[in-house]
Amino acid sequence: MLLTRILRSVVVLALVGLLTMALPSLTTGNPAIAALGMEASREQIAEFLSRLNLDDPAPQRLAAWLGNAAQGDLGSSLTTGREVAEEIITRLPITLELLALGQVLALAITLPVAMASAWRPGSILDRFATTVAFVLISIPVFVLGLLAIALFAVMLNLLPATGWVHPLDDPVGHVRHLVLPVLTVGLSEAAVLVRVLRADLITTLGQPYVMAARSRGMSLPRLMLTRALRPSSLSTVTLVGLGFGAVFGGSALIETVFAVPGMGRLAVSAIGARDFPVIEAIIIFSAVAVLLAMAIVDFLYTRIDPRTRRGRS
Amino acid sequence: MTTSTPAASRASLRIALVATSALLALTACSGASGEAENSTASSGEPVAADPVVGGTIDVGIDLDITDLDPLGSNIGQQSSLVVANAVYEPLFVDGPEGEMAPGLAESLNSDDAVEWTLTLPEGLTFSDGSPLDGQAVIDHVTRAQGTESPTATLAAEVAEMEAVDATTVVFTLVAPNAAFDRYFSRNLGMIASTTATDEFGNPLGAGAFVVSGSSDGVSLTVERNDAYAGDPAHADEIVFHFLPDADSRYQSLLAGTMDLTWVQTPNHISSAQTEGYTASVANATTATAIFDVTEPPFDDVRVRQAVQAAIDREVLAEVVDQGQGGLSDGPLSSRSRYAQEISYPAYEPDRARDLLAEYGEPVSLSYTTDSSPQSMQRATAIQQMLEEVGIQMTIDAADSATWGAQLFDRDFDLIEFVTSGYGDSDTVWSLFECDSGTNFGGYCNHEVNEAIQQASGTTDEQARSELYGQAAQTIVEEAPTLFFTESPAGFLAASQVGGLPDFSDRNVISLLPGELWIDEQ
Repeated sequence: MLLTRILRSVVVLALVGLLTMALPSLTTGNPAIAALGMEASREQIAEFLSRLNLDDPAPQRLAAWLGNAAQGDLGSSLTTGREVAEEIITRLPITLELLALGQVLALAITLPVAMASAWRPGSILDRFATTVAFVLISIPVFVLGLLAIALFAVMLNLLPATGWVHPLDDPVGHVRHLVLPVLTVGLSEAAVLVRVLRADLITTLGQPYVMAARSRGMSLPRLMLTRALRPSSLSTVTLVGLGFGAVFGGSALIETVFAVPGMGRLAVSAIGARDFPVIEAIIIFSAVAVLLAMAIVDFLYTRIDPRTRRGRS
Repeated sequence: MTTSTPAASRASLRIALVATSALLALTACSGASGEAENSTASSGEPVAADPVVGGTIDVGIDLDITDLDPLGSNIGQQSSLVVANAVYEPLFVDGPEGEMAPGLAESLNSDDAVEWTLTLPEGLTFSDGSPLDGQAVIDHVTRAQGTESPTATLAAEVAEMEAVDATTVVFTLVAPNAAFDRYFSRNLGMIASTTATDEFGNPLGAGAFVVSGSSDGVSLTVERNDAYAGDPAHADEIVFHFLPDADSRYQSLLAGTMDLTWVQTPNHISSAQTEGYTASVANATTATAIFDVTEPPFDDVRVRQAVQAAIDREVLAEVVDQGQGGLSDGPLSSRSRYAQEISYPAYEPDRARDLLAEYGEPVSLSYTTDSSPQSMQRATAIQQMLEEVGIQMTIDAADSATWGAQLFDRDFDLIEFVTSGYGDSDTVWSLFECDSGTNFGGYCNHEVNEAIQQASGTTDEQARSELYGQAAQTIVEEAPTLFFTESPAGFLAASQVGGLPDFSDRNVISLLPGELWIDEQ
């Protein structure tokens, strides 16, 4: 089982790696122009490109990349000259913190709201929660961010509108700057999770064993927490796992709006400049993150529903 | 005070600024000492009349500055100049209507446009106290010649340099260039030490500030340079925050998170003024589109003129720029010291139809632009105008990297080019010179070329103005480039900020931050 998963992961990573290394020949745009400027001569551009070996076959480029990566060398950014590994090490914790706190907030909202909605579908509370969820789902996340800034920073003047502060420099400032981006991530994630968990809970609450427990007078909190929530949470766990897996790209809009220097902003600027060493590292690390997240989700499945451990549904 | 609207989308503007800044190193400075006034058009509480010493100013810009070296490729866009100027004040600064004024240097003169004599004041030093003398200038130019930066091309015009004494350098050029002095109001004039760097790896400068902090992707902090030769900076410290999103940058100003922000979005300019903020902007970007004149049908001047006559620029200004900004009538910007009456062909759809009939073949074209809202608005409006005269136009919305590659490779019919390059009327002509690497459309008119070269070789301003006028008139008549609008960019300031110059008569938005002060009471 473990061997199969490892082999499957290797195949996925190899395919992603090959596609990534083929990007220079698959995409338009010239990294030399972004790095050297439009006044660069054609000789300068040709010389710059030749140093990058972008015309080499994808397998050859992947092998070279893996060889260097094994030694901790992910290359240097074409636009900033900085080590790619250093860029990722600097920015990854920022995005992970943002997404982790956002997911925690999303779950903190989702669990009570979804349980209350599922307990009495069609109630005023359920209709209200459904309406709010649909509104949040309908609003693009960057608009939600701007609305949060307008409300909490501009109108109420409670929080800074943009920026990021290192926690060791100013712990309080760090938290204050995190609130709005985390709130935005949390609300947008919660809107989806509430809908998914509510639907699963309603299905579970209709199961005979739950109805039997209800008929025996089990209290609502106990019924939800001990009988209904666990079997209803597989979809929610999957979505949360995917949210973490999208660590490198999913946060781009939030980080741009709030000027958070995370992986998303790095990805956006790298793609805009065709900074292939940075793009390649981000995509491959993103693939690794997705695979790790899915492995954790699968492990949680076995804990939530022991039948999946034996391959049964 | 100009309160016009950017004619180009933010994204395309950014791209074009990058491109043009790179190709032309258009990093001119403005705001000579002593000219600092609080800008007009503010209805907020008046800032203290006298400069206030001390305090920290938070400035939001749209860029992520990763390398402050003026000879790198990171400093070039207008909004990056405020950061570079803090640390590397240039030798000369661009004043109103493009007039040059002394910055760190005293003078740069020539009788024949070939041999130029630079005079520095005595006692100039870098921030570590080492001398910024003639040899330091030579070392800086020599380093520029050896880099891959856009400045290298400008520095390559210098054949010989000699430090006559500690404060005098004589440059001998490979060919006459009457505009050589202007190079020293940009990156080439931002003299950086070749022997010492700060703790963040930036070469030392001689500006009013020194770098005191840097947070990757977040901000760069500068503090007052006690070794600065000019009047000490008013503020103790300036923090430049990197805020890429225009909307949240504007809201950061409204929320008080920022004291000063870069702006090039028209509705932000107008609404900020309504809210009582100070706006100091100029129509410093020009929206144009370049034909590939080397391929049919646009190698035929009648077809280009037909497209030109079919486009109602007033409508573009209304639709895209919300009625603000001005029209661009050619290579000489409206604020150029060479500005003169250029007869730009009028909007005449009937004439366009006649020209197309004379050409005799059906015409279609692809308009390459980016997918930002303002660019798409402009492209869509042009598409409708051309359809009315029988030209089928498709919109090729490319991302910035693809746009740049298509421009460089001349892989287009008509490509949008929004630039601050026209702010410098002496150096922008490379876009039209026959053998220039930045003549993206392949236009070549030997009379225009001759006029440009003659102008470059004469120190007689009147003669140069006439030659530029001739070249500009021919260019707008032959329409290798379509000129649409001039659009505003600049800074918005909270009421507690003083010293923001009025940029309305400037060609380039280049702020010397030592002039700013903040009243934190």
